[in-house]
Amino acid sequence: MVHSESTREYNSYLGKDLSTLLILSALSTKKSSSTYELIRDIKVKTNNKISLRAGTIYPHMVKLESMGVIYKNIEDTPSRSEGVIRQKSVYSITQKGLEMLKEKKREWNDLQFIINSLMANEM
Amino acid sequence: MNPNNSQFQEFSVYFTSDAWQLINSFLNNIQTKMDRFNITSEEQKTILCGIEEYILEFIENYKDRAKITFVEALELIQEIGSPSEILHSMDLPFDETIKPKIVTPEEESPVDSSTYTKVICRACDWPNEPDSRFCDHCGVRIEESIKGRREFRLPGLPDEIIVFPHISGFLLTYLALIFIGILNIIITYSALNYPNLDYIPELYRKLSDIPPDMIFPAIIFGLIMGYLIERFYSDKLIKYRHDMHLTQFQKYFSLGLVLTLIALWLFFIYVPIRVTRDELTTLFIFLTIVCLIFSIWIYNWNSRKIPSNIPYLTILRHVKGLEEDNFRRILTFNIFGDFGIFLFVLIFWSPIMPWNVVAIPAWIILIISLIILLNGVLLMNYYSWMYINQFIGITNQSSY
Repeated sequence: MVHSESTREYNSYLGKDLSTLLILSALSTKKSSSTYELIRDIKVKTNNKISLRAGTIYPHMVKLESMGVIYKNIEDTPSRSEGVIRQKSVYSITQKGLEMLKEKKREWNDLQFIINSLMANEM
Repeated sequence: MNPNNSQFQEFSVYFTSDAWQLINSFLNNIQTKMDRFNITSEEQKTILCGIEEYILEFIENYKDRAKITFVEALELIQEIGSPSEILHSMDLPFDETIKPKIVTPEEESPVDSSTYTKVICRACDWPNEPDSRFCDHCGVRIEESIKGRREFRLPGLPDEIIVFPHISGFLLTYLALIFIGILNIIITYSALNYPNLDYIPELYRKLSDIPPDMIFPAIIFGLIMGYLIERFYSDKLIKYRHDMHLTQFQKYFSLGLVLTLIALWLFFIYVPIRVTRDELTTLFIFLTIVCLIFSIWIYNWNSRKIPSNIPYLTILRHVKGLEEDNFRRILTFNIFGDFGIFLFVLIFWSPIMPWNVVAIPAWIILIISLIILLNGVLLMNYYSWMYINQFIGITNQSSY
């Protein structure tokens, strides 16, 4: 059996701006989310077509945090090991982040329009 | 996070030993690369703590609540991304301050760009075109800092996965090749002297009739082949970055090959099945066609369409470089090699062709196909061992 086109990943299209859009968009739908949950959410919502790499998302999160568009909170969470409480970083989107998301969505729509127009002209 | 610190080591209970070694090695690789790029300890801490959190959450959400296996650890590494990907995501200021590794005089020898598919930058690991003079990513001059390497990338894999101490890889390789040589001589000699034999076991029983001096050409054949393959692989093919060494590779390959050949030998000698030449011809016609079709099919694979539901291939899919053309090429060579061997046997044994007329071309085909086959087997064998390893847990702790 081979992979069908529908299971193809589109990670190669992801630049920093698009990653930001995805992260902010995913965070805007929840009160807070850990990076792990964030990656899983995006993966599930995109039907496994977009899978952000955990190692590459952390520098990005740090940058977004420093820009004030998201903020990090440390939560206590019960561990798999009985009686052990572990600390977990969860992120939430800020008001500034929501504004940035709006702006990024607008940019994305513009880009889509431009690309679609270009494709239509090619035909 | 320091992968060697005691807090992180507590995670080890959630992994099988080989999976844990893989994770450790992967994290060490990341840290080594970060050190190489003079990334501040604060930045390193942020990234590594993030990865640590991710691994921890992966463990917490692990569905079976059993130990994480080697293959699953590979998947986890895939989710995290390669050290190079992580570095590239950091907006590093690539400039003159990045000092490439010291290049030894041997490494400084001019790179023949025609022999490499990509040239990996030593400073940033960016894959450049073979004729690039400057790295596309960090701009460092190729002559000063880049050593061309074939792009077989195994991100995060440990330097040594399975080690068989006290067994010399070279010795085993030569033994294996001598064994192949002996088999070839036996087949040729027997076929020359007993062309009317109807079935294989009897042919092999004639082994005792072979004069002892026939063994020497086989040994010489084995030595020459061993030398050529060693030269070929060490210079051209096996350029794993820092993931494994030729000698280790030979161990996996050779041991597997020797065991396989011994098994085949015993099978032919002792299994009392009677296979007539006609039946054999039919079988080999079938195998030849299947292998030819299969190799063409694989050659035309889109690298993104590699089957995902076969565990053996799943492992290969997790290996970055092999997901691309290398995977396809190696598999094609492997199966095309089988095709060559089957074709040889077909020509050799078929009653419809005078084998003595085609014996020389058949030998040429055999040797070429063996070389091609070894291309594939060598690599496939390594992953077979990795796969077996996760079930039987052969690891050598001392190698870490």
